[in-house]
Amino acid sequence: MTRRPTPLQATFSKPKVTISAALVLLAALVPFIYPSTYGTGVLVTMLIFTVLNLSWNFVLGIAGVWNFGQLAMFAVGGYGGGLLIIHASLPPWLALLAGGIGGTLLAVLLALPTLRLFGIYTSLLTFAAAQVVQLVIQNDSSGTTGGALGLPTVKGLFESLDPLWATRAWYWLVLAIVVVVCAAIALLARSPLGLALRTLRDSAAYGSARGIDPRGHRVLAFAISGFVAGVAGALYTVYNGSISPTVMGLTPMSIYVTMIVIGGLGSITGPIVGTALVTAIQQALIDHPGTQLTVLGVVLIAIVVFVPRGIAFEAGRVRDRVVRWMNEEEEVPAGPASPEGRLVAGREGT
Amino acid sequence: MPADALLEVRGVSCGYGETTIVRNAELTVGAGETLCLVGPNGHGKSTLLRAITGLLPLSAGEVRFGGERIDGRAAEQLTELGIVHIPQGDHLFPDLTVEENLLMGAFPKGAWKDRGTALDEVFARFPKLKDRRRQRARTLSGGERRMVAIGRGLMRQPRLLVIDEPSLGLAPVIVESVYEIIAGVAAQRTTSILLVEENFTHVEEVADRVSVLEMGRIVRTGLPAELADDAAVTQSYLGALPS
Amino acid sequence: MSDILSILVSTVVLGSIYGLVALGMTLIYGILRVLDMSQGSMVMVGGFVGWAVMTSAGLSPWLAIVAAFAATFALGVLTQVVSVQPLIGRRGTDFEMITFITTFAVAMVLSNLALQFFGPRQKNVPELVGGSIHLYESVSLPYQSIVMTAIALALMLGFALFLNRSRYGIAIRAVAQDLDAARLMGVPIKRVFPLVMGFASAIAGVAGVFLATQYFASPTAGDQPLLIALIVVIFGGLGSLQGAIVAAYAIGLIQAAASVYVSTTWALPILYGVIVLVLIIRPQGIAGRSLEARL
Ligand SMILES: Nc1ncnc2c1ncn2[C@@H]1O[C@H](COP(=O)(O)OP(=O)(O)OP(=O)(O)O)[C@@H](O)[C@H]1O
Ligand SMILES: [Mg+2]
Repeated sequence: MTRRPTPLQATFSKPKVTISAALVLLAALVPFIYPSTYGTGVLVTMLIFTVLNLSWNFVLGIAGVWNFGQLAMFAVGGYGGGLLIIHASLPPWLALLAGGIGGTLLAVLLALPTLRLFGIYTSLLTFAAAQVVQLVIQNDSSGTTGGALGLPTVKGLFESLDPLWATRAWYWLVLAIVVVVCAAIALLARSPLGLALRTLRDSAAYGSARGIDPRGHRVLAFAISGFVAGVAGALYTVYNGSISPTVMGLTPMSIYVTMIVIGGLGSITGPIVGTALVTAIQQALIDHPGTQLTVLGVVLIAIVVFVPRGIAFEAGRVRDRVVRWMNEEEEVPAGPASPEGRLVAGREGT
Repeated sequence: MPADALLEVRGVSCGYGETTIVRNAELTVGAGETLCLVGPNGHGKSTLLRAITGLLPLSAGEVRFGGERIDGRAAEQLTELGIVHIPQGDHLFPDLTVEENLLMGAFPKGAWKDRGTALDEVFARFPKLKDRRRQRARTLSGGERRMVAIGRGLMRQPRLLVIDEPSLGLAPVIVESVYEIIAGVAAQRTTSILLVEENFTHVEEVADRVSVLEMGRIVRTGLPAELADDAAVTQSYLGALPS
Repeated sequence: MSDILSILVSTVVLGSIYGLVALGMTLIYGILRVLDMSQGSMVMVGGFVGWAVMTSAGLSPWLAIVAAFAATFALGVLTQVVSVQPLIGRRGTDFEMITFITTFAVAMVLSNLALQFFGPRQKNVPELVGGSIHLYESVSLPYQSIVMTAIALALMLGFALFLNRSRYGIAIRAVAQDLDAARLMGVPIKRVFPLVMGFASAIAGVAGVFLATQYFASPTAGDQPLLIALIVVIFGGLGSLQGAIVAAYAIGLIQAAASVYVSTTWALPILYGVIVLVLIIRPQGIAGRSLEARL
């Protein structure tokens, strides 16, 4: 009865490896173009949120499960990693992994009660669950989580470096993680698992009829996405040296949802573009912090109403048009629309 | 052609999205007259009715009601003029009770005052509905649903009654009683009727005139007897019926 | 004995307030298929209107209730026009999910504007009426609670009657079930949708005044009521009015009992556990119909 969204780029064409590699290289050079500790720090935070948003988009956009409790996994990864560093003297590198495992466990736990639910009920339950996780962290009086004040002074990474280089090292580390996560999601989305998830998203009845187990796949999608979110949480804790319950709740969730949706739900470039754009808006309004959320809210509504498929998709269309226009200039005969076809046409032209 | 036309459809084209279904349709329903629209399945009869009663925008042409332009007005505004459309497939409100469904037929301000009397009249016509007045519409049988749909349409005094295939999917006995009611309304000569019907026997029973719609165009209009003799109509339309 | 009595007293008060918020939520979902995340903000705005009228202007609490009703009504209408109406009938998008997000964005804007205008500090709002009846040992029943419960019940009953008996009430339900047929009956759908959201928001606004007199007015005052309203509507079955009202009191009872016997801190987590159980046993809530039945 509910129509499923069919986000764009839901069917992943062969990743244009060279273009992606060039973009990554360009991104890796950014800290040199922009040699300030503060500026690089903003970019690190942006990349950490990109990891989180990629994980969220995997379950929300690709698997089509209305999970609005992703921040619980992020927080559990962050707190879990932090606590292990403090109490078990775990090296920060391992804490990242531990955060991922914590996120996975919680994600599976959260997935189980949603198995019999549809659409909006899933979002209600997961959203409520995340709120409860936040309350539990905040109301903890045993001193484990540090309550509302947060979990302080976790030993960080790259402490031996001077601040600028430490931040740059962080930037490259998180950039590498973003690249790995993107690649993993792209591969997953094209794998039989990804196909199964998208089938279940677009038609659960058809998927089950073809023998795809909807429950097992949902748990798996949660687990994968929970792992990445947990890693993002641990990254956040280690990078900032602390974490507090304010990473969760309505306000942060609003920001991440804005990032994912304006970028384009269900695509890989969507969360990347969206996170960058929202960070840019936030930085532009840095002198008027009170107006940030108002502006973001208005932008979110405007994008949903006027650019329903997200910025990344529209940008892709513009790019296609430019490519077509360039082809016309070179008077390449218009080939078939498929990428393979275009390739052949290009060869003929040279 | 009747001198005092109540409904005039002039050069109307309409469709869904990019596809035009009805092209340049012309028809007139006189005051108190019953016009029957016939034509093969899927050629746009329901689409034309939806355009006339404001559910669908026109892409060309005009519709006049009592001399006044009504195209461009929304369906919910046209009810005030006394246009009642009983759609194909009943379109009941599945989770409202039978009585609430009927009451919705009296929604326009003028009719709401007299809803009690109107309800009694409908129950007098369909005594079975009175027993089922508290039952949700979704649980009714097909025949009962049709009774509710027609009853809902008669909850106020229409000047123009638009009925889309009232016999669809009903057993012959019930079809008979449905047509008795339509014939009753037609005989009063106070309400004009625009009726879509596939079964020519019933068309001859109630229609003053018949229009044939084919491939989205009105290809003929005439008396029922003329059309029954028309070889072209018999072939294109009646010939399509399994006999 | 006094434990039980005080649990009952809080159950009735909490249940009535939750009932009001959840009523609007379930109404909007039932009619528009929108899970309106801005309902929490309406509670918050209602609280601030209460504060402005009673504390700032020093006027009567009754005026505060009326003003909160009017202000949140207007805001609800605006929310519908801006964030829901343009999405109706759009192809290729999941309406429920996308309106969940847009109403969420409205909530974001409203809370943030409140923060800008009123600052983060909690604001005290006086009681509607003072005094109390002594019941038993340390338990007493404030007049304020009686008044709030009475108003809440009256509003809920009024709404139930409105929806079941009145011309517009039946029409509102009809619109949700068959849009085209409702138009053919003459129901002005362009007016009905904003009206529904206006009324639903207005009752949330009144609940906001009540909550502010119990606690404070603050920019985040709507967050917890939103969460509880979500739990209530899951529990009651989305779209079911009776379900929402019954569930509101049930949730009030669970929360009151958990606060007395365990601790206030754990009341919500316990509540959540109960909800998970309910959903495992009855995925459509206690009064919701199964998805198949709705097709
Ligand atoms: N909502 C819609 N969107 C797109 N196309 C439609 C829609 N409704 C009907 N059509 C198409 O318009 C054409 C005419 O349909 P219409 O219902 O008017 O036919 P009809 O003459 O009433 O047929 P029948 O006798 O079977 O009721 C059909 O090809 C149908 O598929
Ligand atoms: Mg038809």
